[in-house]
Amino acid sequence: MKELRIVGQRELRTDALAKATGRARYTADMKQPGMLIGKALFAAYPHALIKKIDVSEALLLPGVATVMTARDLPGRNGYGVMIQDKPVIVEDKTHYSGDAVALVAAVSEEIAREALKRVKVDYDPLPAYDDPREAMKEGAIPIHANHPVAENGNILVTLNLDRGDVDKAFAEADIIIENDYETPMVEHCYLEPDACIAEPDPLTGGLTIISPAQAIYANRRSLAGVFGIPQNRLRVVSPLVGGGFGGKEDSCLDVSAMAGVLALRCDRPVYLELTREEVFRVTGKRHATYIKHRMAATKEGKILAVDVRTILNKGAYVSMGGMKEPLHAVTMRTLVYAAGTYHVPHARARSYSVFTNTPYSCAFRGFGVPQATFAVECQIEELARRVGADSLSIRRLNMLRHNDLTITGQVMLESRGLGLGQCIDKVAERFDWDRPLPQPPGPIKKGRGFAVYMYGSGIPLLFEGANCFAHLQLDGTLSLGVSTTEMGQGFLTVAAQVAAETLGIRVADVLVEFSDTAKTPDSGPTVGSRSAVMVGNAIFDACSKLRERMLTVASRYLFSKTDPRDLAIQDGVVSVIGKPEVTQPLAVVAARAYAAQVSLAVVGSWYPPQASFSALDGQGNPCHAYAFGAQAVEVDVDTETGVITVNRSVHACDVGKALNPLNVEGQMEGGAAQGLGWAVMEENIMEGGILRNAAFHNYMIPTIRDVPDLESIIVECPNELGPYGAKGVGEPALIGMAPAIRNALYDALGFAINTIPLTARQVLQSIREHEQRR
Amino acid sequence: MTAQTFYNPGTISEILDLLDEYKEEAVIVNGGTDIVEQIGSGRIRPKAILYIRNAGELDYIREENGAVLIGGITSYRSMLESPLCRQFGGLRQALTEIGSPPIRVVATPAGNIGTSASGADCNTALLALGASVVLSSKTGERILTLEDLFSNPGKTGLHRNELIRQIRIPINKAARSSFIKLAKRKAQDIAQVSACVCVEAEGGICQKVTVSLGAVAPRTIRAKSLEEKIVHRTLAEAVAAVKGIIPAEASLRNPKNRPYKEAVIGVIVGRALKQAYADGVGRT
Ligand SMILES: Cc1cc2nc3c(=O)[nH]c(=O)nc-3n(C[C@H](O)[C@H](O)[C@H](O)COP(=O)(O)OP(=O)(O)OC[C@H]3O[C@@H](n4cnc5c(N)ncnc54)[C@H](O)[C@@H]3O)c2cc1C
Repeated sequence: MKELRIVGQRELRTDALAKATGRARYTADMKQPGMLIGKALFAAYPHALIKKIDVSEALLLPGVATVMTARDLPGRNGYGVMIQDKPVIVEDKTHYSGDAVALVAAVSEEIAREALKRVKVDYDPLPAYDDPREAMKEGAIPIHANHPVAENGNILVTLNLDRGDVDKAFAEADIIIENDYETPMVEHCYLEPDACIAEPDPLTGGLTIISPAQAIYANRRSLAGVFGIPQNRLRVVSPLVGGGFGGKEDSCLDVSAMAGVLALRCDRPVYLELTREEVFRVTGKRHATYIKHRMAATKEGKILAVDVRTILNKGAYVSMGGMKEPLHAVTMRTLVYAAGTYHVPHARARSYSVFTNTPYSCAFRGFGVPQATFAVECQIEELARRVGADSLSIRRLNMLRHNDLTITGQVMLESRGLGLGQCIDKVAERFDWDRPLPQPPGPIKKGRGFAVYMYGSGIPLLFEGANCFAHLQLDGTLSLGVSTTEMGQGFLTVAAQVAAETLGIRVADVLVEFSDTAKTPDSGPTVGSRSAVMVGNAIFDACSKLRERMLTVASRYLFSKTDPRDLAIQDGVVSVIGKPEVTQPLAVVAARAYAAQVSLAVVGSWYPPQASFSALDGQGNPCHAYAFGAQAVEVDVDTETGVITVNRSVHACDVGKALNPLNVEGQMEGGAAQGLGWAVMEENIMEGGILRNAAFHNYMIPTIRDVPDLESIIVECPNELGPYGAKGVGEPALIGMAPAIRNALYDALGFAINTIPLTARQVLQSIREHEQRR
Repeated sequence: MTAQTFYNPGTISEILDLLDEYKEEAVIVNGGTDIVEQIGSGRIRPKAILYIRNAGELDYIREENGAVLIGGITSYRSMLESPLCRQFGGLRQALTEIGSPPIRVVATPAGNIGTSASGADCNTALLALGASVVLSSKTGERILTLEDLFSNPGKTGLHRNELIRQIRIPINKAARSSFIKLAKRKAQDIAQVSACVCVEAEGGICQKVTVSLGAVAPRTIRAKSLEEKIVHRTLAEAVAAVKGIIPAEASLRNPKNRPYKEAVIGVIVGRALKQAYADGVGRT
């Protein structure tokens, strides 16, 4: 393979300067004077029948342009990433406290707020469910009277995975480990609150929606029906996004639906922005899970079988995916990853996704894999203790190797990159894992913990594949068009690097147009750690085609029929390989091609091998390639206050190929820090569907002082199908932290806590209870 | 913003005139880190806002008559940079725990006193150090200890027409103080429990002590019941004596956090004591 000059470099982010100087524009910066201000009246009761809504007083207020209830909607009263089960405005029943009951548009925010106060709603409150285990019980009140896809009552879907003979394996096992684990619902806490500008377009008779969004084409598909217009007349634009983490796949629908119907009704542009409290109240969360994990093993520590039951809190609406067809994305992953990174011949898993009256659960960095992996990595720790072996040797003994089958029956292939062993070795070495950790005297106890993970690139069976536009300009610069979102992950830079490397131009000569349905084809959503791989490949495809065309033209017209294979393009200059003195600028070649009627515009596409997954037995090949990782931490536990301090973190991730190591390290550090928050401090205090800590002063996320220096090690085991060998890194980086911290706590205290977050209160209480038991 | 008039007084007398003119209906904005949110959200709707940060004569830290005097608009950052303030170990520790560097640039000890929140860090340190405040109004001036101010707000509390003109911290070379804050995270968080102790010791025996606690009652409190367990004892005896103790002065109502707070009060006070001793109390 030819030597890489741009891919693999620590290229500075192309958007860094504009962002660091505060000059980059986000949606809120595009608000214009004269736009109406939209606001919603949200449900006073998370679960209630609506008997009557009276908006007459609100309509009388001067400055109010419209007040809308469900009766005033222009199209379908339902949307969702795939299943249209979330009403724009609820009609006769509320399902959570973020349901809009009425919408208002007014000339100012003050007037809009005042108008909402004048809307009178009569409710008949019902008991609200916070806990899916309660909501799935026989006799529970159905949250949705007529849900379009729900399986049975409040159970949205049950997914099964069955492989081998689990009961026999358990009967023959030397060791059986059975534990219950709980992981919390948490908030994405992106910096930029959700906002939308909706503007009717007199030329097309359609509508333009400007909103920070992770999936503009999914928005178009979901919302066109809500607005009662054809899909091609709904233009969706996502400016730069101030963080998404999966949340802005759904939350953009919430604000866009509301702003859009108001704009259409008033035939004027409307600006609608959620306050931070409303972001907490209305938008999606990470699924809380309750996992019973059973593991059977030989006395040497070889895993024979797993038997796992997972209950997920779905919250009020479906969000990503549906049930069986299309698959529910997060629920599905709790099956696929029920045995973690290990080769386990017999497996049974049941996952139940259950409606409650909490905010809907949606995609959140890792899509259910962090939850499933938390349980497995705690179990493996327990197994090592039972066997009396170091947990790393048990992990190595069981890890998936070339030609092993996963519990979904997928064959693991070295050629797609299997770097787990390397990750474990490198972390162990850097961390000095074998060195004993002396306990200091006094109340502070020290502990070390380890965890490994794997994560498939992409979101199989929902939206795979990617397209892009590539258009070479006559001055030798390149315009790319992708629907991918730039939300801080650095995709614009990596896209430019892949294009520049492939075509042979400089990064500075690539301009990436992004996330605007009027300018870019569907590259798929910016989720599932898919963009560098899938869209990267589409860009590779487009630029390879352009390169070939340019070389053919150069050969024919400018290099006296030198075989194109003997020509090279580098830094925007075409030359004969081995004769650097014979050159032509790419601009000259492009101009020649233009004159010779050779097209300079290309659509690049890439689709992975067809994914498969059966909702009946959980068998199939869900992802074409998997990233792997290992995470070690050292913690201090204050046994008198319960406070945990993470002192050290060493993290290795096999990303196939680090297209931009700076970006990869950024993702690894950000993921680890976000994972730390999930593990030790983030909690939604939910009481009967009402979130009691809906603000940043009482919803805690880590500050820089809560996070140790995060050491990142990049491992590169190339994926033969990835662009230059890449696999996805965005989400995997979060997964290892929570189990590693929990295992370190176990090491420090000598007993295990299986529920996160490990807040000081929870830890101190566990210590007290443990002392009492002894 | 819902206030009708914004004033930017440049002198103390202008401030006092405006306070007198508007009586109950003006609100002072100092660093604004507590009050602006209240105004912005409409929770309070004052007629007038008095932004006092341009009254330069209120910005100072100086020593006079055995006390350090701090002006009514002096920021935490100025205090952290001042050797006069840094001599009080407990105060220094409290200041570094408040908010974040940007917050400390604007926020003030006067504002901490003005709000008197349950878990106010600076108040907790100042109370243990025996600080007092000079309160000025058009009709005169009164000096109150923080202990009086906090313990009986109905009677001795700050009146709406009063300016916190000055904070006075008595200098006591024989004493050492120490502050510890326990919070849910390591920065930008309000205390779960905080404690400041100020100790004088001789030959390893505590001769005098004040203990203040934050976040265990509606306002910062002085915990005399703990002081009694510490005074006339050695450090080790005192630490053992306060362990697990729930001081009578605490009034914890929220059943959610009460057991946790109760479990850690004694631990935090014990640690603060150890730190004060380690800092050199009673070494002479
Ligand atoms: C992000 C953040 C983090 C924070 N972290 C902490 C923390 O860790 N610990 C902590 O204790 N606090 C914290 N706070 C709260 C706040 O910063 C402090 O209470 C601070 O001391 C308030 O000072 P200020 O000058 O901003 O007060 P302001 O908000 O200006 O005023 C507060 C009150 O005092 C009155 N007032 C102010 N000055 C005077 C005066 N000279 N005379 C009479 N009345 C006056 C005002 O009228 C108002 O009622 C935090 C706040 C924020 C926003």
